[in-house]
Amino acid sequence: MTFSKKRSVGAAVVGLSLIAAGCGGGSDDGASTGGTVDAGVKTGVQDALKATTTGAGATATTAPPKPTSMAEWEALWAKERDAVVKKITDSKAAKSADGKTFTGTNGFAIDLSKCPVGWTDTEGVSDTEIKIGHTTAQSGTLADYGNIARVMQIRADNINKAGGVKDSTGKTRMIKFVVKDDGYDATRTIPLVDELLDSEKAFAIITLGSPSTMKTYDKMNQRCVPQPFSQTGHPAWGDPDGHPWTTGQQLAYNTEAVLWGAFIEQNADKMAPNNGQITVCALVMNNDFGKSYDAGFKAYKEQSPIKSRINYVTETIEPSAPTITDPMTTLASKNCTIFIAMTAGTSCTQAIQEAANNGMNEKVKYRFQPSVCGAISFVGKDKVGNAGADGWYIVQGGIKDLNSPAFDNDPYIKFARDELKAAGFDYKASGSFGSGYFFAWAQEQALRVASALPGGLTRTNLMNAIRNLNMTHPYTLDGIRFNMDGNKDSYLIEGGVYQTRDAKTETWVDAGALIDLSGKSKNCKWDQSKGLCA
Amino acid sequence: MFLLQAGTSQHRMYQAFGWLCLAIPMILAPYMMPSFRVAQLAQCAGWGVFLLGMNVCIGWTGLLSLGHIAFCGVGAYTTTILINESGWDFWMTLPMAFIVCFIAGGLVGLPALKIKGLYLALVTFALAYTFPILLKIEGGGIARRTGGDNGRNLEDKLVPTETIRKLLFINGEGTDESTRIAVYKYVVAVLVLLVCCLIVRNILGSRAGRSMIAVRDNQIGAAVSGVPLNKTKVLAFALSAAIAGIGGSLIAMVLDSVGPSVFDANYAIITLMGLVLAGVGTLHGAWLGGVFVVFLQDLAPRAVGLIPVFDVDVVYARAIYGLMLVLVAFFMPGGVVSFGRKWRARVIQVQPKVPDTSHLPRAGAPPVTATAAA
Repeated sequence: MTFSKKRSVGAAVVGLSLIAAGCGGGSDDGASTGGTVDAGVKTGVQDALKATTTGAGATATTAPPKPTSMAEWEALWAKERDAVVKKITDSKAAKSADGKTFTGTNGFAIDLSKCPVGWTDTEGVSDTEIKIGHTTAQSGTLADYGNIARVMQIRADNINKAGGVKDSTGKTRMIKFVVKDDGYDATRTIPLVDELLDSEKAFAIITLGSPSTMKTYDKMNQRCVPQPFSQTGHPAWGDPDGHPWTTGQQLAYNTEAVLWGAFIEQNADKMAPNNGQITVCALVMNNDFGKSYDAGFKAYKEQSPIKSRINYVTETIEPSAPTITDPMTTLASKNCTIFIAMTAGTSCTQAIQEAANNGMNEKVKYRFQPSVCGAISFVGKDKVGNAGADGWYIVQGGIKDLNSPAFDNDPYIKFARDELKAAGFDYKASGSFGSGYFFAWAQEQALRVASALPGGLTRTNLMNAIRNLNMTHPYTLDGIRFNMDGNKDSYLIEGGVYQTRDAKTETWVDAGALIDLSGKSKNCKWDQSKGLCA
Repeated sequence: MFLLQAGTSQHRMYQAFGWLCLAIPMILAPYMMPSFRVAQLAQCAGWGVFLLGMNVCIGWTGLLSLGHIAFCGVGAYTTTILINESGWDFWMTLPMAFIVCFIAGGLVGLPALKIKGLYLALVTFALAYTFPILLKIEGGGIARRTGGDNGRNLEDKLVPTETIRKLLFINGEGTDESTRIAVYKYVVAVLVLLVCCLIVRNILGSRAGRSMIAVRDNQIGAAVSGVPLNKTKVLAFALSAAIAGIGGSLIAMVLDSVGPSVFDANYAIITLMGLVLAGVGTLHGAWLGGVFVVFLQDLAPRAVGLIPVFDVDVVYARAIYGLMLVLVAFFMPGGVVSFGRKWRARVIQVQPKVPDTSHLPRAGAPPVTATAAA
C-alpha cells in the first residue's frame, strides 16, 4: 500500500466514524439516567389503575372543594402553613447544643460539623432582607426559561409591596433575588454559583437545568447552602441523606415513564388482542431529559409481565436538530402500536405536525406527548393546525396551563395573568411564565413557613420546612398533593393524570382518574459512575 | 520616539520592564480579587493553553481547524475518567492527556493533508459538532463513562496541601477554603500555561517550527526548500491537539467537572473568536484569547444590564461579541496583540543587533577562489 492510499483509508475511517456517530439512533441497551423502576411507584400506579377499572376509588382522588377566589386560596394556604409549622414544632426539630447537628422532622437530619469554618445559619439574611441567588438561562437557545426568573422577580416585588415575609422573631424581611445568566451552559454556572456563594453571600441558590444543578450540588452541600426547588426533573434531587441541602420540585422524568408503561400494560389487550405484539415507538431527544425517559421506560419494560409482547423501537434526535422529518418517517414505517414523544420544546410541536403528514395519525391510535409539552404554546391550534393535536394522549405532570382557555375561570390563573399584565407582559408570550408561577409559589410558601418556625428564618429551618411541606399548590391539577415528608418522601410532586387532546375546545380531557403516587418513589442516591440511583 | 539597540543594557531593562508589567498583575491578581474571579482567571489560563494549541495549527501552520475543541474535550475526559475510575493523581493525567490527544490529533490530521482552507474548516467543524454526540453514545458503556448529557464531577479534587498553602501565603486565618482552592488552581493553571508557552516558543524556533511557518506562508516554496509537507502538517496537527488536550485537562480541573456543553460547536466558535480578537499566530494571543473567552461571556450580559436608556434585554448580550468582532476587524486587523505592537512601534523602536561579521572576509579582500567555490 502506498502512503497516499494509507492516507485515504485513514481519512475514510475517520470520516465514516463521524458519519456513523452523527446519525445516532437505533435501539441499544444499557442503562442510563434513572434506569430503575421504583417498586413503590409501580404498585402505586397499578393500585390506582385497578381502582379506576373496578370503580372502587381506592386511592383518595376525591379532591376537597376547590377555593373559588384568591381570598379563599390565601386562607387555605395560611391554614396549611400553620399545620406544617405545628408538625415541625411538635417534632422539636432543632440544632444540637454544640451546633454540630441539626435534627429535623421525620428522620431529616444534617451533619453541620462538616460545614466550612465561618459558616452561619443566617448568612444572606439581614433584619430587613432575604438574599436569594438564582442562575438561569436568559441568553442562548433556551433563553425562554429565563422568563421563570421574570415571574419570580414579579412575585417577589409584589410580596414585598404587600409587606414582605414576617418572621417569628418579629422581623419583617423583603425578598431580594440576584439573578445571573448562565445561558444554560454549566461552564458558566459554576463561577456564577461561586460568585453567589462567596461574593453575594446568598442565603440560598436556585439553579436551572440538570447539567448545571448536577455540577454544583456537591459544592452547595459541602458549603451547607440551600439549593431548593431546582428547576429540573432529574431523580437525583431526592437524596436527603447525601445531599440534604438540595431539592427538586417537578415530577421526576422517570416516574412519567413508569406511567406510560402502566398505561400500556393496562390497555395491552385493547392495543393488540390475542396476546399480539405491541410495538412501542419512541422519539428520544439525545439529552439528559430524553435519556431519562428512555431509560425509565426500558427499566419498566424489563420487569413488566408483558415484557415479551413489547417491542421497543427508538429514534434519537439531537436537541439542536432543526427538523425531525427523517426519524419520524422511519418510525412511521415501523407499524407502531403506540408512539411516545420523549422530547421537549419545538420538537413536540414538530412531532404532531409530522405525524399528521406521514400517516401516523391514521395508523397509530395511541400517541403520547410528554408532560412538559402539555402547554398550548406547544400543541395549540396556531402551532399545529386545527385538528393537529386531536386525540393525542398525555400524562400531565399534574400541572395546569397558564395559556389554556380551559383555565379561564381558575382564580389563581386569573390572578397570575393579571399580575403579568400589570408588570407589562403578555401571558401568552412565553410557555415559561406558567412554570414561573409554579416555582415562585413554592418559594414563597417555603420562606413563609421557615420564617414562622421557632428561631425564624435560618438555612436549616428552610430545608426542614421544604422537606415537610404539605400544601395545595394552586398551579397543579386538583388532587395532586404538593408534599414531602422528612426523609421518607423526598419528592414534592408525584402523580399525574392520563388525558387526551380535544382540538375543538383546545383542552386536555381526562381519560382516566388521577394517579396519586405521593410518597411512593424511593429516595435516590445518584451514582454517577453507573448513571442510576444506587 | 525612542530608539533602542537590541542587546544593549537599555534594551534588556526595557524587556525586563515589559515582563514585569505582565508578571506583577499576574502574581497579585489572585490575592486582590474575590475567589470566584480567581477561579475564572484559572479558567482563562486553561482556555489559554487550549488556544495555544489551536494557535500552533491555525496561527503557525495555517491549517484552519475548528475541531480542536474536541481534542480539548478528549483531554478533559481523559483526566476526569482517570481520576474518577483509576484513582490517578491530577498531575499524572496531564502526560496521558497529551499522549491520547497527540494520537487522536495525528489521526484526524491525516485528512487535513488532502483538504485545504475553508474545506478543512468545514470538515473539522463536523468534528466539533459530533464530539458531544459521541459522548452520549450508550453502546460500549461510553455514556456511563462520560456521564452523558450531565457530564461528570471530579471525585478527587485538587486541594492545596499544608506546604503549598504556606508557599502561596494562603495559610492565614482570614483566608477561607474556597479562596485557597481557587488560588491554588490558578497557580497550577498558570504554571502549566507558562510551561506550554515555553515549549511552543522553543519549537517555533527549531527546525520543526520553521517548517510549520514555511508551510503556512508558502506551501510550494516550502516544498521546494525541502520541507516535508505531509510530515510537518500531521505533526503540527498532532502537537496542537495534544496541547489543546492539556488545556482541556486544566479546564476539567478548574471546573471540577466535565460535560458535553463545554466542548461543543458553540465553544468551537467562541474560542476561535477569542483567538481572533486577541491575535492569531502570537504567543500572547493565546492567554489573552483565554481571557476573552471567559470574560466576554461573563461581562457582556452585565454590561448590557447596565444600559438603562434602551431597556435592553440580556438576551442581546451576544450581539456584543458580534460588534466587537466587527470593530476589531475594522480597527485592529490582526487582533489586540498586533494592534498593541503597532502602537508600541510608534513609541519605541528596537533596532536589531548588527550581525557579527568578524569571521567574514572584509570588504576589499581578494575574492574566494573558483576552486574553493566548486
